[in-house]
Amino acid sequence: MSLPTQTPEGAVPDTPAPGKGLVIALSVLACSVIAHAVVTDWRPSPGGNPWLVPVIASGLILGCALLLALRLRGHAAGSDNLTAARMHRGRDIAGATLCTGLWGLGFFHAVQEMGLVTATFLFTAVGMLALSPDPRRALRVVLPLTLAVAISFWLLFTRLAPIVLSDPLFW
Amino acid sequence: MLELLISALDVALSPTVLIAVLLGVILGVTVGAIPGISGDMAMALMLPFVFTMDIAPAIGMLMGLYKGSLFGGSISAIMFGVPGTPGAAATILDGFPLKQAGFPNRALHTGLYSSIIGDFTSVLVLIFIATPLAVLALQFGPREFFALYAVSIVIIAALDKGRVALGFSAAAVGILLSMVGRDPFSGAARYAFGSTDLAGGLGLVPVLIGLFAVSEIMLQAGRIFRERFAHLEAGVRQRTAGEGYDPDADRLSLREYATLWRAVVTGAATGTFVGALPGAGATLAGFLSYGLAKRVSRNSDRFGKGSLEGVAAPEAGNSATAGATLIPLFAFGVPGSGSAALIGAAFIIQGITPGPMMIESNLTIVYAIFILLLYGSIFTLITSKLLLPHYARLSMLPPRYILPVVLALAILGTYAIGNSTFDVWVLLAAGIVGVAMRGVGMPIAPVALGFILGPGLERALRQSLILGFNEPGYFFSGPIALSIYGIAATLLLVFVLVGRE
Repeated sequence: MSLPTQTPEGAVPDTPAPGKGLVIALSVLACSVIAHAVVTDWRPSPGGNPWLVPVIASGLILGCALLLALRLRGHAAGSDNLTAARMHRGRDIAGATLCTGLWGLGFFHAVQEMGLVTATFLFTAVGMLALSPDPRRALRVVLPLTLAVAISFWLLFTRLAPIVLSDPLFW
Repeated sequence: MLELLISALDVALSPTVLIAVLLGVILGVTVGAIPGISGDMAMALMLPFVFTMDIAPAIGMLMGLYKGSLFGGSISAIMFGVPGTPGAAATILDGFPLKQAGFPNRALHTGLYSSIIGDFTSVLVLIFIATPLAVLALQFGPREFFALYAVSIVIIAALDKGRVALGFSAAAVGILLSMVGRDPFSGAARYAFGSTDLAGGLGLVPVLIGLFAVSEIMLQAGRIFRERFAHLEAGVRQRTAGEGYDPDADRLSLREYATLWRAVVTGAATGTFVGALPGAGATLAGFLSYGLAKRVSRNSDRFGKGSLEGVAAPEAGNSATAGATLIPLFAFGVPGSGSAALIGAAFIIQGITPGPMMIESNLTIVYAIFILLLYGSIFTLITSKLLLPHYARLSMLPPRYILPVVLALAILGTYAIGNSTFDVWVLLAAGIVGVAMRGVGMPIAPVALGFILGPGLERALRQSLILGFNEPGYFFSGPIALSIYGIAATLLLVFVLVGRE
C-alpha cells in the first residue's frame, strides 16, 4: 500500500551506488579469509574441513565483487562536485562514528569505575547536551530526564536483569 | 470430551491463571520493548519462580511473557530502529522509516494487529494440526535444512531489485562473521588470532544490535551534530513533537489495515511453517516473511522506505512462531526454539515431561494451555492497545534526548546477557561496520541473516556431506529437499516474471 503525502522524501538516507572502494574492500576481505584458511593448519574433520564454508562464502564475495567491478566499468564516474560532497559527508560521518564509539567506551568504563547511576547520569547528560543546539537552555530538560533515566537503569540492571558491578550506585 | 473441556476451562479461567497470563503479557511487552533484554532472557529469569507456582499459572505466565515479548520487540524496532528482540530485526526495515516519516502510531498498530493475527493463526494450527505438521518437521534432516537455509539466503539476498550482487556479498559477509570461533566439528578456533574471546565466537545480540542500532545512532548523531554547527544539508529528516507531528494523520483505519491482508497472510503462513521447524526461529520467520511479502506485494518499491506491508509481514511472521514452536515440543518433546526449550524446562520443573505422553496423561492441562494461549493473544491486544499511545508519544521526543539513552541501554543490555566486556567491544565494532556498510550502499539485512543462518547452514552442509559420502547429488536426492528447491525456483521465476511486468 502507499502512504499519503506526508511521507517526506528524505525519510530514508539515499543509498549510494557501489564504488571502486567497495569492490577493493570486498576483494581484500575475501582474499584475506582464503589466505588465512590456507596458511592456518586447522584440524581436519569429516564432512569437509573447517575452511569449507569460509572459503565458499569468500568465493561468493569475490564473484560479487567481480560483477560489481564489471558493472562499474559500464557506468561513467560521478561528477567532481558529487565526489567532493560525498567526501565531506564521509568525513563528518567518520568523525561522528569515532565520537559515538569513544562515548560508548567511556560510558562502559565509567559504569565499572564510577558506578551505574553516576555514570549513566553524567554520560547521558553530556551526550544530550552535546547534541542540543542550545545546551544552556536544554539543561532544564536534560537534568531531570537523565536523573529519571539513571534511576530506571538502576532498577533495570540491578533488579530485573542484574549485571556484575562492583557498586551499582556510586564509586 | 465435554467434561474434559469443562475442567480445562475451569483451570484456564481461574483468577490465578488469568492474572498470571496478564502479568506475563505486560512484562513481556515491556521487556520486549527494551533493546538487549529478550523474551528468552526474561523467561529464563522467571524459571526460578516457576518452582513456587502451580503448573497452569506458571506456564500461563511464561506463555504470556513470550507472546508479549514477540510483539514488544517491534516497539523499540519501530521507535528507535533497535530490535527489542532478534525476532523483530526485520520489522526495522520499514517500521523505523515509518516512524521517521511521522507515522509511529500507524506502524505500531499495524505491527500489533499483524502480530495478534499471526499469533492466533499459529495457536489454531497448534491446536488442530499439530501432529501432522510435527511429523513433517521431524522429517527434516541436514539435507532438508541445508535446502531451507540456502533458499532463505537466496530469497533475502535477492530482496533488492538490481542490487543482487550487493545482497549476496552482504549475506556472505554475515556468514563469514558467524564462522569466527570454534569449528563445531573439529573444535579448531577459526579466525580467533589467539584470542580466547574470539574463539568463543561473536554473540548474536551484540552483532545484531550493533549492525542495526548502534550504526543508526552513529549516523543520526553525526547528522544532528552536523545540523547543529552548519546547516549544509538536510540529511535524514525526522518529525518530532515540536516539528508538526500530526496525530490525526497518524491513525490507522480498519479499512487501511484490511488492504494489508496479502502481507499478513504471507507472514502468518510463513511464520507458522518456519516456527514448526526445529531451530528455525522467529528471526528467520520475520526476514523470510518480509522477503516473500515484498515479492508478492503490488507496492514492492515502497519496501524499505516506510511500507505498512513491510511492518505487517515480519510481525505476523515472527509472532506466528509463538504457537508453532510448541508443535514439536507438545507432539514429540523436541523444543523447536530457545523459548520452547525454556517452556519445556518449566514443564519438567513441574514434574511433567513434554511429549506424546504428556498429551496422553495430562490432557486437561494441555487443553488448558491451548485455551490460555488463545486468550493470551487477546490480552496482548488489549494491554498493548493501552500501552501503545504512550510509546508512540515517547518516540516523538527529539532524537538528541533519545540517542544517548538508547546507546547506553544497548551497551548495558548487551553486557547484561553474559556480563562480557568482549560483547560490548563486538557491539561497538559491529556499529562501525554497519556505518561503513551503509556508507558504501550495502544492505544490512542480508548480513544479519547470513550471521544467523551461518552456523546452521554449515552444520547442515557438513552433516549432509558425511551422510552423502561427499556426493553432491545427495543434496538433490530427497523429496522434501527437492520440493524446497522446486518451490524456491518457482517463486524466483514468478518474482522475475512479476518484476518484468
